[in-house]
Parts: sequence; structure tokens; C-alpha cells
Amino acid sequence: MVDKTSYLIKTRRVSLNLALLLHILGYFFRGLPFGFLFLILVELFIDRPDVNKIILHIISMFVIMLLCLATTALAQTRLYVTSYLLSHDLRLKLGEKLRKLSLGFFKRQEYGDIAAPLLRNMTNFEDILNTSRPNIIASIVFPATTAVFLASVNLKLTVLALAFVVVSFPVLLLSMRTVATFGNKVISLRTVTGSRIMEYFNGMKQIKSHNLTGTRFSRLELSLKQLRRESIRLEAFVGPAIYSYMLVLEIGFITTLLAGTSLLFSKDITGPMLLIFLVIGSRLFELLQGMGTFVVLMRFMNVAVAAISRIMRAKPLPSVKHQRSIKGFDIEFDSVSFGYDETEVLKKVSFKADEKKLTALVGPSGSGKTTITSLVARFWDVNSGSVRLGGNNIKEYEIEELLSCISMIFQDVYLFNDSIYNNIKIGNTSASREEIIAAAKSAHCHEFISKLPDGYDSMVGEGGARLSGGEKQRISIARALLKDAPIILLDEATSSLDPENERLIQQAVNKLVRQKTVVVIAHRLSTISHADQILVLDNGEIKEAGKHNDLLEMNGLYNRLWVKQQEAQGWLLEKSR
Amino acid sequence: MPSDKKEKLPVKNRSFDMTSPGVKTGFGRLLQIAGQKKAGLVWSCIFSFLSALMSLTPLIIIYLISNELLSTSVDQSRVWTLALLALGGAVARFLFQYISLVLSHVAAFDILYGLRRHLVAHLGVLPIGFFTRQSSGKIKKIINDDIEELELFIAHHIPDFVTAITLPSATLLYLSFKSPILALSAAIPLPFAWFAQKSAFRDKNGLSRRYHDALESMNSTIIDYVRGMPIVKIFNQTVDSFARFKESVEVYTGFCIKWAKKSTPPFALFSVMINSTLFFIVPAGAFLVIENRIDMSLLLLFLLLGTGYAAPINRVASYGATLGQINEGVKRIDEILAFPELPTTSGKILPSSYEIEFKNVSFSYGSAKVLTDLNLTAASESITALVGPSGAGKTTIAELILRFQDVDEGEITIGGINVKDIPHDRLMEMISFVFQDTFLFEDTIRENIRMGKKNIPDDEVIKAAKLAQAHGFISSLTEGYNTVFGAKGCHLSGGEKQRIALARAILKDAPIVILDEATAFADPDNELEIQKGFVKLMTGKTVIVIAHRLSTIRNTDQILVINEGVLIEKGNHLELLKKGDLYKDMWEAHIGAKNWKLNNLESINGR
Repeated sequence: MVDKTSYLIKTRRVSLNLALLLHILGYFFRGLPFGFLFLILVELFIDRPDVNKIILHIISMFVIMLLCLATTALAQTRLYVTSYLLSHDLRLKLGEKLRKLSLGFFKRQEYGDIAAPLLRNMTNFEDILNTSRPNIIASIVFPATTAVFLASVNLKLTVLALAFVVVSFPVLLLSMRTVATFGNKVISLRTVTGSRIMEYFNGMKQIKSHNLTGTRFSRLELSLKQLRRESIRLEAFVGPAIYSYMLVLEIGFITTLLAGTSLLFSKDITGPMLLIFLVIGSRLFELLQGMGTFVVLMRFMNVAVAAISRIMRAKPLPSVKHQRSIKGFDIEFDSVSFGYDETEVLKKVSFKADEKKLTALVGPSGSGKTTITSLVARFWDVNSGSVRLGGNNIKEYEIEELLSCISMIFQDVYLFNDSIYNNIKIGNTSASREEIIAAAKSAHCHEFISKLPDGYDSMVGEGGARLSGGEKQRISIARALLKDAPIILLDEATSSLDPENERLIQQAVNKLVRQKTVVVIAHRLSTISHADQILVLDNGEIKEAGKHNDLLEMNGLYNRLWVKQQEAQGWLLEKSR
Repeated sequence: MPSDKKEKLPVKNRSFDMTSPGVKTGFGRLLQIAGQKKAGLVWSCIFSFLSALMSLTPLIIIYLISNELLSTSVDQSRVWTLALLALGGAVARFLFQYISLVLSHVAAFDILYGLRRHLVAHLGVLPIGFFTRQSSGKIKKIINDDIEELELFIAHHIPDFVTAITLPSATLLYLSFKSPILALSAAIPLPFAWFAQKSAFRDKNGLSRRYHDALESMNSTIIDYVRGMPIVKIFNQTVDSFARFKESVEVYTGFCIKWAKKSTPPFALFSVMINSTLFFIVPAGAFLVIENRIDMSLLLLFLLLGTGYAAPINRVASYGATLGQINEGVKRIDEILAFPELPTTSGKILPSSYEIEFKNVSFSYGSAKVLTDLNLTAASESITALVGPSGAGKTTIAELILRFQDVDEGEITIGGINVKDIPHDRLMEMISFVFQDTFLFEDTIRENIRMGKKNIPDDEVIKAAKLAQAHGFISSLTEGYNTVFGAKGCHLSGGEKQRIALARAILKDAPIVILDEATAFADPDNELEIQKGFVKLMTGKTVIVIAHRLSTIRNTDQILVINEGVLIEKGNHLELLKKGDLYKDMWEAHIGAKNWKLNNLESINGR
């Protein structure tokens, strides 16, 4: 555990170790008075105790108590402050790291899973640093030093006591394993319950209209029931394991006590010695018993550390040795194969998209259209073959330079929880207010923005929630217009917009793509009927390629798709009468 | 669906109900929730206390043994008996503790389960507006995490608090019989500790609230940072976006450090004081021994009991901070529970026909007026289309019929009966609603079509799927109708999901059909198949359809044009075109959009 965290704490290691040292010193000062207690007891056992000596010892005890207070206060403050500084460092480091990771990293997982290490997991990590870890270290170091002291009082008894400590460890390990087994069950059930709740929430309209609310939504009800059962089982099974650990230690203490008594009978040990042994011993075993709880807690904390490490260790795109500058904007795929896992999504795909020409990708869903555009923007690197831009492999360009040549219009638009103005400005941070408004006008945003109470300074809400889908689309186009990149990757919207919105977006898109190299994922074939090149994909392969009329004449897949869509266009909602 | 009636109705538990009188806040509310399982918890506390008492036995026995040892004649067999007793005490201690643990956890998880069920049932009767204003992540967090936090309070805090109060009191009481002076000196650190604890958690400048604000603001900045990263990267803005991120992390760290510097020293004082009883016992004890007022073995008893009695207090000391967190969670739970439910009806009236009528209906969403004094009629077994710009109120009209929300003014009737007077379950049974975005559950395709009606035989499911043109692709899935949606390898296209929704609606066979943008298919390749399914669905039904693609609705019996919550035009396609108002404009925009071509040549200008 300590090892796993060690590389995460390296920026503040000195400060943290100092705090730990103080923490241990605090424990030491907490234990030291027992030495004086021993001396006082020795004094009390003789017939005429030296009162001055006793008073001196008592004063020493109080001085130590004050020292203990000072070191503890200092140690605690330092531990907390350092843990917050460290989590601060780590958050920034993770933030830096995320900047460098490939876009693919963000596309393939839930953003919640990416954000968690910076949020909840990091808070857990703070707890590890300022509470669990120092306490575990202290409950190892403190008993160890006390054991040395006890050994100097009486070796035999100390060895006996330690024997029980040794015996207790396998029991502790056993309880850790029990926690792991049953704990994992509970954790996975909680995940299941979580996604059932999401289903219940997101599907509420369907659930309501099918009379499935409350317990009648049996999928959620069942997982709630299972969660209750497994949670109780976890406690019921882990309890005996942990209590056995504590019981072994307790028996150790009692045995030591009995052994001490018989040593006293055989005059191998004096009264005060035995007493001090028992007083210290009782505290010592108590500390060790407490450790059981911390160790169990630490197992859960491991999850947090693992999540943080996962991002820290994620590999960014390899950097370029001899970087080139981009001279041309024709895109070429040379027998490119690619898969997200074992299954290949693209199989030896080759094509050339000429500069300032319109290339359309069509084909059934899952045929690899989106993957092609993702590879152009280097979300991922190809498995084999190469993607070339302006004649050079895109891997030979700095990723920033590559992306500066590309604008992408996604289907789902994400806007920052910021003003509309700043959301457009992302396209080009050096743009003037006039240029930003001009871009908004070109993208047909200006009208609706002007109607908002705060105009361009209106906040868009979380992810752009305060704007409609059509409005968000248009802002994303304004952003791209401002960027004015020579390559446009376009995913034609399929979601339904009202005719007016649709028309405005179409006009804005045509402004955006003028004189650019365009790769478009097309859903309605009629929109791309005069593209310079249409690539028909099926199952990761280019089945047909050419212009609209040529493809129709080929009488193949494209022709079939076209006929189907033409039929649908003429369809009317009416009853069969 | 008769079998569904027999199933339990949504479970409601009055003591969770926020609208019933006597609901408390803060700590009182926590106790009220815990009071659900009073008996179990009381027994748990009793065993926890007994266990704590038993933890003292070895210490008391050491005292008795040392008494024996220090006396003139030592009875060896008595020493052994006492040792065995100590052992028995130790075993009893952990046994009692285990019993307490099981009892308190059974109680806790029963309460958690009950509360979760209650919350889930409550969500089921809230107006749909609630769901559009809340995020699913937040609700998931409340039901999953915030409720889970209660376990700490019920199963741990309560028994621990009880022990922290009773055990020190019992010990001090016992000790004060042995020697009042020593017992008093053993208690000296308590007021200091109490004072220190108070000042550690005192919050004069609202630091705690400001801390939570900083935490929340950092969290949302981080989420924005992560979610927006693809955009930021594409626009090469990682530096700026990182600067915002960095600032929020720094503000938060600043607060944490301020808080740590303020409250850790007093907390250190607390923990040192609570562990320092020894220092107060020894001087007094030594004095008493020298004066011969007590013997050594009594001093020993104090050294053993007097130093350990405060340990349970130590454990509950840090609960203060956790308790605040739990309370925050309960507040969030109660906020949802306090959200008013849609009123249920005791009415048993069922309509005999299915024409739908809106009479002077007004509806507001927050402060924004969505529908104003709306009157419309959809005749039985006819098709009515609702058209209009986005945000005109079309979806609201459709959802009001199902009582996803209730109207503010006016009334909606089906067959002349106010929808509020129709039993809710029956109202749901008479309407099929096909939504714009089909939601499928992570369940088998069969269950996704069946939607809870377990008594429907498989062949009817298949028949519905065939009519919805869905049978073909379902059969090609690895496990056919048993394929679990969302599981590995089972991802359906928008059009395929749409056909499942269609199969659902066909199977339900309700006399009223509402299609909200259901014709906006995600992949045009499937359009033709889906259209065939719709024809089957609509025949002989009262149909209300919302459509942006106006060409699909030009043959409907009636077209209602809605703009800004007001019905502005009414008629069939040709009549409305002739009128030459909004509908005509929309129609022309639609035709234009349909014929649009993507074009990157300089010469062609927009459209």
C-alpha cells in the first residue's frame, strides 16, 4: 500500500515525511510518561518513598504532555496541509496529463469515470494521507518501540506477547480477504443498482406510460433487495473474522498477564515491573486491535489510488522526432486497418480525398464511417497502413498542428458552462468582438442570441443545457467558422429539427465548407448527390466509390440504399383504409 | 393486464413522507429515520453497552489478581479462576459486539432498503417536469450514495454514541465508589476535551459553507474540463481551459488549508486530553498511597480503568464532521420527498369513447408560460397532427394528455371525462406513447417489448415484432429475443430501437396513440420498414402525431399549428397552404431543407 502511493507523493515527500515524523514523535511523547509512571511505581513500592523524586517525575510527565500536545498539533496541521497541497499537485498533474492524452481516450469512456480520480477518489486519497496512512505507520512504529522498552523490562514476557501478535497476523489477513470477497460483491451490486436507477430516471416516460413505477419496476426492486442482503452478509461475515483477530490479541494479553503472575511467584519479576508491563501492554494491544479497522479501510482506499494511477499511467500519443509543417490538405488512407479491440472496424481501407473537394462517406450504421473521421483527427493511431495529409504521414506532425487544420462538427455538441461569447471565442481566442459577432451572424446565431436577456454574455448552463439542440448546433458552427480550418469533418445531423432550424443550419454549413477539404458522414443520400467522391462502406470495407451517377449505374449497395430512401421520402402518415 | 393489478402498489411509508406532519430536520430527522427499527437498534445498543462492559473485565480481573498477589497468603487456584473469568469476559465481549453489529446492520440495511423503495415509488408519482429539471447523476447519487451514508449513522454512530456516554459514566461511577478523589481526578480532562472539541468544529465565519461552495465549484469546473476536453483539444485551447481548472483547484486548496489550520490544533488538544487521564490520576494516586489512604492495588485499578475509560469517546469525536455530511445527504433526500406528487384520484369513471378535448388549457413551466388558453379537439379514430417551431409547446400538449404533468387551468377530457378523474393505471393503459428518442432497458429484447406484462405469451411478442418490421434484425442477434440490450455486442441503431418501440406500442394495443417525433428516424436506411409498422399501429385509433417533417403528415385529418403556446391555425394541408400563413412558410422551409445539397464550391451561395 505504502509502496503504491510512493510515486504519487514524490513532490511533497520531504514535507510529508517530516509531518509523519512529528506524528510518530507525538505518539512517542504519548508513551514516554509510562516510563516515568514506572519510576513512580518503583518509588511507591519501597517503604519510604522519596516524595521529591515523585514530584520531579510528575513534573516531567506534565512537561512531556505539553510536548506531546505541541507535536501532535503541529503534526496534525502539517499532515492535513501537506495532504491538501499534495492533492492540489496531483489534481493539476492529472489535469496536465488529460491535456496530453489522445482524443480517443475521451471518446471511449464515460466522462464520469475520467473525472472521478480528480473528484471523489482524490478526496479519499487526502484521507489516506492525513489519517489512515499516518495511523497505520504509527500503530506499527509505536508498538515496535514500546516492545523494545518492554523487552528491557522483561524479555520472556515480551516474547510471549509478541508471539500472539505474530499469530494474529494471519487472522488479520483472513479478515482482509473476507472483506475483499464480500466487499466486491457489494460494490458491484451498488454499480448495478446505480445503473438501474439511471434507467428508472431516464426511462421515466416509458415507465410511467406502461404502469411500471415504484416496485413494479422489478429490475430496480430486485437489485435493491439483493443490495440489502449482500450488505448484511458482508457485515455478518467480516465481523467474526475481525473479532477473531481482536480476540487473539485479547487472549494474548490475558496469557501475558498469567505468565507474569507466575513469574512473580517464581520471583523472576518484581511487582512494579509486572504492573508497568500490564498497563503498557493493555494500551499496546488496544492499539493493535485498532489497526485492524484501519487496514480494512485501506483496502477500500486502494481503489482510489488505483483509479488515480490509471490516468497517471495512460500513454499519450507518441511525440514526433522530426516534426514537419503541413503544406497540403489532401487526405490519403493507404491500406488502413484499425480496431478498438480485437475486432477490426476498418479493413485495409485506401482512398484519397483531394484538397478542396467534397468526399462523402455512406453506408449502414457500424460500417466504419465515424472511425475514418476519427483517424483523420488522430483520435487513435492506426494498427497498420498509414493516414497521410499533404503527402506526409500524420504521425510526423505535431498533434496540435494537425488539429489546428481541422474543424469537426459533431452530432452532440458540448458547450462550456460559460457565456455564449466565450463559447464561440474558443474557435479563435485572438478574435475581436466584431469578428465573433460576425461569425455568429454567419451561423445564424445572432438573432436568437440577441433575444436572450444578457445577449452574448448569457450563460449556457451545464453542457449548454439552456439552449435547444438547433441553437447549440449553430453555435458549434460559429465556433468552426471562427477557426476557419482548411479541413472540415462533418457528421450530418440526424436528429429532428423543425424546418426553420434545419434550413438555417444547412445554410451555415454551406458557408463553413466553402473552399475546404470536406469529409462528410452522410445519412440522407440526397444531400451529397453531387459530392466529388462518394465512398460506400460496409463492414469496414469500401465496397463502392465514385460519383453519384456512376454509383447508381453500378446497381450495387449504393443503388439499393438510394432506392430505399427515395421510397421513404414519398411516405405519408395515414391509416390503411 | 389483470395480473399486474395483483402486484403490490408502490410502497409508501408514512414516516418517510415529507408532507406528513411532524417531520423534523437535522439530528432529529436522523433519529426519526432510525426510529423505523427501534427495537433492533435498542437491542443493538444494549449489546454494544454489554460488550463495552465486558471489555473492562480483564482490567478488573488484573486488579483482583493483584489484590490477591499483594495479600499475605496467595490463593493460587483463585488466581487461575480469575484468569479463566477474564478469558470468558473477552469472549463474551466480542460475542456481544458481534450480536450488536448484526442487529444494528440488519436494522440499518432494512431502513436503507425501505427508504430507497420509498424514494423510487415517490419518483414514480412526480410530474415529468421534475425529471427534465434534475440530472440523472444527481438522483443516482442521492439514492445510491446519500442513503448509503445513513448506514454509518444508524449502524455505527448510534451504538457508538450510546457506548461513549454509558461506558465512561459507568466506569467513573464504579471508580467513585472505590475512591471519589481519584475518580474525580480521572475526570479532570473531560471538560477540557469537551471545550476543545467544541472549538474545533465551531464555525464562526461560515467557513464550512464556503468550503462546500468551493468544493462544489471545483467539482463542476473539473467535470466541465473533462467533458469539454475533446472540444478544447480540437481548438488548441488546452492552456486557457487548464488555467480555469487550475484556478478552481487553487481556491479549493486555499479553503482546505485555512480550515486545517483553524481546526486541527484544537482537535489535537482534544485527542491529547482524552488520552491524558493518566497524568491526573498519578499525582493524586501517589499522594494517596504515600498517605496510606489507598493501597497499591487500588491505584493499579485506576491506572487500568482510568486510562482506558475515555477510549469510546475518542471514537465518536470525529463523527461530528461525518454527521454534517450525512445531514447534507438527508437534506437532499428530503428535498426530493418534499416535491409534491401528482394528486391521485379516487374516481372510477372510464370513458366509453376516445376523443380528446382540451378546454381552455393553460400551463406554465416554472415562470414561463408554455400553453395559453388552448382549445382543441381530436376526434375518435382520426389523425391529428401538431406542428410548429421548436419550443412551441407541442410535446407539452401530448404529455398533458398522459398526465405527465397537470394543467394549471382548464381541463383535458377523454371521451368527455376529465383525465384527472380516470384512475391513473387505466389512463396509462389506454394510451400508447412513442417517443422521439427510444429508451431501451438493459434487459432482453423480449422484455423490452413486453414492458412488464409477464402474462403475454412469446408468440404475441413475436407477432408484434413482425408487424413492427423488427423480427428480422432481432432474429439475427446472437441470442434472438433473449439478447440483452446494451450487453456486449448488442448495440442497435436508432432505426432498430425505433422499431422495438413500435413493437411495444403494437403489443400494448391502446385505443389512443401519441407519436412524438417518432418519424424522425436516426437512420434513413430503415425508414421504409418503420413506416409500414406505423400504419399497423394507427389503424382504428385516435392518433396524435407531432412531426417536423411536414411531408409525412400532409394527409392527416387535421393539422393544428401551434406557436408560442397558442393554436394559431387549424385545418388540413391544402386549406392551410391556401391560407398562406406560418404553415405555408414552414412547408416551404421543409421542402427547401429536403432538397438541400452540401456544397463546398465558391460559386454556389448558401442556398
